[in-house]
Amino acid sequence: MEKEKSKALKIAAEIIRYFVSHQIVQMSVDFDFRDDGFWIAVSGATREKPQDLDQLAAALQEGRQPELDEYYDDLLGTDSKNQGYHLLGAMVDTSDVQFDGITLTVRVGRSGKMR
Amino acid sequence: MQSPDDREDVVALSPFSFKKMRSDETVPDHESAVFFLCLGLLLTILAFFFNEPGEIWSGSIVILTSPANLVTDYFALANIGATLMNAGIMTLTSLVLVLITRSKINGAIVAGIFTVAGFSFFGKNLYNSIPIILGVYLYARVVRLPFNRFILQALFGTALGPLVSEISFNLNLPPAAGHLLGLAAGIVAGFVLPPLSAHFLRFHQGFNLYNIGFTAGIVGMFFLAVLRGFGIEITTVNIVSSGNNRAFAVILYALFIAMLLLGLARNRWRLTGYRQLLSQSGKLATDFVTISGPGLTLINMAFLGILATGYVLAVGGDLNGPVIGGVFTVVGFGAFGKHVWNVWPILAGVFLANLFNVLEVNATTALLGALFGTTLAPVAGFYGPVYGIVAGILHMAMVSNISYLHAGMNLYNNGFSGGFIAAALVPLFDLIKQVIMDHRTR
Repeated sequence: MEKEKSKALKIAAEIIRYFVSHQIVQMSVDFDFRDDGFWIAVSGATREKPQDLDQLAAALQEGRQPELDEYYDDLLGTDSKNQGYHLLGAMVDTSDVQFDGITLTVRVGRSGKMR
Repeated sequence: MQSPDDREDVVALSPFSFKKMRSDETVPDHESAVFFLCLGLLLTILAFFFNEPGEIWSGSIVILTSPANLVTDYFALANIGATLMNAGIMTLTSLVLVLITRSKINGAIVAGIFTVAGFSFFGKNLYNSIPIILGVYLYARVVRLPFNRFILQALFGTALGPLVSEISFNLNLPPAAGHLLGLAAGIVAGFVLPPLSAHFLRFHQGFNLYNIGFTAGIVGMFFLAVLRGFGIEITTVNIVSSGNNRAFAVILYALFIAMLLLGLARNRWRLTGYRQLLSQSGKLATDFVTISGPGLTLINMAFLGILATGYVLAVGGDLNGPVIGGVFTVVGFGAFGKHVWNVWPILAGVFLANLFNVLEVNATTALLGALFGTTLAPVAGFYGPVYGIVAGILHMAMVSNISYLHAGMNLYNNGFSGGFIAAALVPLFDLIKQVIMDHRTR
């Protein structure tokens, strides 16, 4: 499977794992694969803001680190024991985390050739 | 961290109306580069305080042309000056490699450079490291990705340097054949490290910080199996020195105090945020430079250096080449997972194990087990101190018996052992915690 699609699945799995670990079990996942990268959006219904949501949002803004993502991406989506935020942040170029009291939405984007 | 909006190297908007996306290119951190430049120069200059230039030169030739499997203390094999010169050159070479590949000096890279520096006291040198780095580079070319994506594997992968030296200098081969085969072995080892190391992460789930050590142990094991199949027997050695505690205690403490002051200055003379750093389990890949900033990271590294050196001196150990290498490695990983709260249980566990086993607590082997056993710091960080002590005890038992598999070709023997310990203990600790939680909720 092309490397970037494989990474997309791992990133999505980590975000889904975050949702499930906060008892958000009804969610929708959108993928958008393009030639120059991909975007993933995960939305789930919850009335309670996860306690560590601000930490997640901050971690996702830390900036992509190619030195880490090629090596450690296999740790994503596993039972990472709620420690995957920073690695997730190292693998995405941009992110958007929104909670409006009803729905939590996490969007991430990563640039890179799809091959 | 610079906002994506401020970066000039970003490209077009996304359909989700995101802010601009970063490109793949990274920019080196100048402050960190200057720090490592100073560290490398310090080590090379210190060399001349211990030995004359002629002695440093002849000692360097010995280092470059000798077998280097565990445990080969370069202080004893050559001399202190040549060892410090080797460490300085290796540090500067690592820095150059990071800079020319335009890699960002994050916590992992800091750990990598310190580890190279530390192991240059007992096993790594330019001759046995370059083939491995070349192998990683070839892998990057084959998969058509930038070399900076594999810079960590290149730095840490030099753990298999003794494989190159052993084949080149210790198999009684004609010189040309020895060099050629040694070079080839290093390139092959470097080539397979990136895919294997990424794959083996799942084995221990990131609870063993020296993942390349585990991978190198597996690779070394395969090479040894082939060599033994040809009737070639290689055994570990125990070449260690003593009598240098006063000089190196002064040097190390001065270095760590300087780092502490630098870190405090960078952090506005406060420890603000350090409690949050200590709350991290340290599991891979916890980059303190990115999470907590360079100031707190330096402070953390300094505290670890003071703790590690203090442990060695407190138990009456020798600050010889391998032990200094251990201290440097602990310090380096203070940027990538380790802190005093997740390290002390491992030290305590190894200490307890050595109180009751056949080793003296201040023997070099025991000290290496303690210092490098902190590869299991995430176990203590995530599960708690008691679990960390148990991990330390079991690690000391395992590490004493596992080096036969690679005959000391893998310098990160504790990383090799740590992989098995983490893989075995993490599921069991999960079970224990689950049972305790279930009983509490009833």
